[in-house]
Amino acid sequence: MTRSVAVLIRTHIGTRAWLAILLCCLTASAAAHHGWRWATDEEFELSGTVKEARLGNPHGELKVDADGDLWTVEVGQPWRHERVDLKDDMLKPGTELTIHGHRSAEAGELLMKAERLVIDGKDYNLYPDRKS
Amino acid sequence: MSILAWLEASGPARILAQSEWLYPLVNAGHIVGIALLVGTVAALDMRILGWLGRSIAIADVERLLRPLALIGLGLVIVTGLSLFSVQATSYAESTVFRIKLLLIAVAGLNAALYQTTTHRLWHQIMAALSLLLWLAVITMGRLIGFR
Repeated sequence: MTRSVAVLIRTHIGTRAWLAILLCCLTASAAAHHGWRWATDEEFELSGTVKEARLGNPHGELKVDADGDLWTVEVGQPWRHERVDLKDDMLKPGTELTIHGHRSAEAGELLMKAERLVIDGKDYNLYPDRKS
Repeated sequence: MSILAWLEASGPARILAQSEWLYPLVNAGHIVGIALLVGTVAALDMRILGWLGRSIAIADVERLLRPLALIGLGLVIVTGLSLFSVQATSYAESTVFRIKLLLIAVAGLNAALYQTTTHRLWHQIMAALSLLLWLAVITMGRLIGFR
């Protein structure tokens, strides 16, 4: 059975076609943004001032000044913000906030993904299912 | 205001940027388009290279696959422009995105040149090039979200 399948594959598709398929698979690596695997497991907290906000699909992004360091903070999609009643103008430049989440596993990279935002002492929990 | 900024601020782009389901749906449509376009192009390329379907005439394979490839092409253009409009200014600045557009242009030129010759070896070279170019286009497209 296995052998006949092997013969079938060899005769009908050919080695070079398989190489092409393999090439496709190899190119499908790289990871960031989506999910949490690119970030560390450790809970991380950042406090600072919003310098720039680009909100909306595919995902929102804030530039946050924290003690002179300019961080990139990935926030949620519109539906995730809507769910916790977080309006776009609450994240406009000048806003002071604390962000709980996870930072990039790449050493020295000033990038984090937010789980929960704290603005004026109020919690906006974007990921209620996750510990933050 | 530049045309890119205008596009980004336009009504449809803002609706897409704020939508819950429309954006992922358009995204899925882009993938369906890629599957149709690149899937059929790859099948035709592999036939031209003689890697598969040698008992079927190339002209027959072409007749079957071309309409599907064109549907795929229409779908990737419409969905691609829509996705682009949401963040037009930043995509336009992205090196990866620019490389992707360049590769698409070269792939298009390659496909057009295919029509200008009937030489078998040239056809095979172009088919091999086409395979590599479309794989690279997909890779660059995927990288946009990660760079």
